[in-house]
Amino acid sequence: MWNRGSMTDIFVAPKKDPIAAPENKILRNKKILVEEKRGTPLAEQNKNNEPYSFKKRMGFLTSFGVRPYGVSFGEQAEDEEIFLFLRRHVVTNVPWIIAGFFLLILPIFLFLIFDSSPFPFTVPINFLIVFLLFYYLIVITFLFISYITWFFNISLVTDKRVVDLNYSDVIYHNMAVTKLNLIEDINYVQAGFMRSFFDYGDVFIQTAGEKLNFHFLAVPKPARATEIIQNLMGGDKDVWG
Amino acid sequence: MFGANLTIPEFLQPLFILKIGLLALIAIFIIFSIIASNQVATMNKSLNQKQTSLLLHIFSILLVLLAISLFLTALVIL
Repeated sequence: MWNRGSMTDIFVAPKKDPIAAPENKILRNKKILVEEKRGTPLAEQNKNNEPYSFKKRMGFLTSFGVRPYGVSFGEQAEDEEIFLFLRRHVVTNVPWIIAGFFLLILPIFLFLIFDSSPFPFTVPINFLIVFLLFYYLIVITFLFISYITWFFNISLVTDKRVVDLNYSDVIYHNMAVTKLNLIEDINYVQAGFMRSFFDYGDVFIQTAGEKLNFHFLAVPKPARATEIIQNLMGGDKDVWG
Repeated sequence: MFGANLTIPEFLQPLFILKIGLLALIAIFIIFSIIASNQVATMNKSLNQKQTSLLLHIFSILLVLLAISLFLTALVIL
């Protein structure tokens, strides 16, 4: 007789950890390698226990990060995760670094020129010291402002939206945000010797209607960035592809 | 003669003008560095990158302190 109480449950297979599975030896080794390399326990890195989450810690000069670790932005929701972090390529900093270097050594040349000059140029030593200290303070500030201008000009792509943070000339900053589902078209341009050599270019994101268009200028790996954004638009969060 | 004992007042001395000019420039620089420091604090709220953001904030405060120190030094030794 049919007894309802003794009916067997529908079999539900337990969820497998793809990395822990014996056949995925390569993935398991990769996980251990990444964990060892970063020196951070993976359990700490990955709060969601997602097996493919090889999060990367962002450094002083990092300009491209996929699922970066230790980065957050002001408007970020609690359940929102950053998938792509972009800055201008590090190479774009070379002009101001060279300018800063020349400005640092300029007083030495000026001293040598005036020292060997036939026309005496006399300024009291206390004035000279204050002027020199002030000059170096201005040069250091120039280098600092140039660095933070690069540092705070970022573009983020989360699982929900695209965020573009602009900062320039100390007194100007703005933030532009659009939802992923409002993106209509995305393309990139990589033209020129330097851009091809160092693999950086411009990514253009066109949004629906008369909304803002986003320009991520001189970002590293533009093809990869475009691919990741396209995947996220399609709901695919496996950005390691 | 009429002009024999004529002396230039202190505020018209070239070095005095240079001193005031230098102090004024450093004072303007202090204001600028305070604005820069405030901007770094504001931007750190918009983008937080753990250690780097903290270091940038410390450095911006250090710049303000250096500028104030330079102003006081100039005031004393000039």
